[in-house]
Amino acid sequence: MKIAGLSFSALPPIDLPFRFFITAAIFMLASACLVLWAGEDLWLSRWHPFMLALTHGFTLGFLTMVMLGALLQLMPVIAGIGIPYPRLIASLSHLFLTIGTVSIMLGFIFGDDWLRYSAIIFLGLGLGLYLIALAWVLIKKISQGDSITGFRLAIAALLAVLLLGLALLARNLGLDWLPANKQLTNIHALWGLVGWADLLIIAVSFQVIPMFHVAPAFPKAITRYLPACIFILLLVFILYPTLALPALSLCHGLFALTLFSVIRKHKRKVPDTSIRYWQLAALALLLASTLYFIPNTLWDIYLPLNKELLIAALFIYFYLMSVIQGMLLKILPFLSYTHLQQRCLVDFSAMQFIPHMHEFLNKKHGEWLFRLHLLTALCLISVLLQPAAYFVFGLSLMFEFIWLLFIMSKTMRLYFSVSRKISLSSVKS
Amino acid sequence: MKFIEIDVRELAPPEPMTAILLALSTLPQGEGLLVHHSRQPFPLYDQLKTTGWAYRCEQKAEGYFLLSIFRQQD
Repeated sequence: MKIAGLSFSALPPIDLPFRFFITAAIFMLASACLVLWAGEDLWLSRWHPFMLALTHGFTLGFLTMVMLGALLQLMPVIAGIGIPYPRLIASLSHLFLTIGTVSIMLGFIFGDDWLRYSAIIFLGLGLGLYLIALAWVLIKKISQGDSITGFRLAIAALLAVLLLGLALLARNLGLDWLPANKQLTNIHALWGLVGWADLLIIAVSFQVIPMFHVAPAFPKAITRYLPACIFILLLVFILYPTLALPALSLCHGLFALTLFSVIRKHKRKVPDTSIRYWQLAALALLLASTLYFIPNTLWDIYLPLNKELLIAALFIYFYLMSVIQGMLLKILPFLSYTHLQQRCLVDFSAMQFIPHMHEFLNKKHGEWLFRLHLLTALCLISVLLQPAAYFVFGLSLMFEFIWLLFIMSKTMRLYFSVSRKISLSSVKS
Repeated sequence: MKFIEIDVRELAPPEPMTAILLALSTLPQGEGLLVHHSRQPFPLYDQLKTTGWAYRCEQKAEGYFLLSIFRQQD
């Protein structure tokens, strides 16, 4: 579509998502340092300030950072339209989100009011700016409807999470915009994890799995009703949490089974690490949904670890994190290749400079990332069983994301070197 | 106009784009390219327009699009 000569269906420049992805990996390294430094205390409860710093490092610093970067490119590819003024908005959002996330993490660790003010301002600005730009696009009528509905709901959820989060931070500064209520932090956490991260991933999976793995489309009943169903249950959760949670678990169990079914029918039978990530994610989701229904009395007898933390760990690390990494392994080479290919429309001879896709992301490197991810995930379980194991978890987390950073920087360096070759050859001719 | 046909529905990204580019690079004058695709390749459209190509896209069924690409002067 065109507005006043500007076209928003083109892909924004690739350095924009790249900076989100690199920053996300760095936040995970920072989180690993936090785990190593904080010691056993961090694992005492989900309300411990160090645990709050860690969860926001994961959710804001990694999950949200990657998803916002990916949306810059996925929106044009899937919906045919991207955000307006992408360079300005993406650059500012990225900067403010980075400062805001650093502020909130340090704010939890040191309890400093200035850090909290900084977090409120920069997270508000960074996420708010991006949300407005996205909302401007999403309120229009766009084709490929079912994923777009999911995006709209996820964005609405992010807005709610942001506003609630800012209000909760403000409480620590004596600004009582909201009453004191533990349920509010539960809503913030659930809406953030399920409403924002999970719903967005579900909506994206409807497009990305059939597209990248040549698999059949998801069943219409799922694509049409599941996102809305989850969103409605999140609303129900505000007033009737004990009613909503079992229903949400069932929804996610259903989605996990659907994932297994669609993945099984994928046509590209070449071994693919991304597929293994999706399988791990689906298994984790199924397990988390099932474990929820084990009565607490049985749990206390047979399972020597905190039920809430285990389900959260399965959901955040085995499911959300796996999906994001699996998608990065596909998106990084795909974006690099697509951007370079499009330049060949001007000059077909430039195609000779574009290396094989495998050079953008080495298969073996992807496999090693998966193994490291699995190792870290198992270390996470062991910390829940025995907090003294935090050191092993911290180290594994560190290695996993150093490796991811290495993979990303290798892809990006190759992209820029090929891009330079194409530019030089077109100058000569 | 004579059209050369390619079917990229069973290909995973970025192979559809590669196939389209290869076909366009060797497309004889006065002929067009007809692509059987599983989706609308939105990011391609702007690039096609700015590089002298015109296109038309028609949805035939759920997950099946017919994209015809030809030179703007044709």
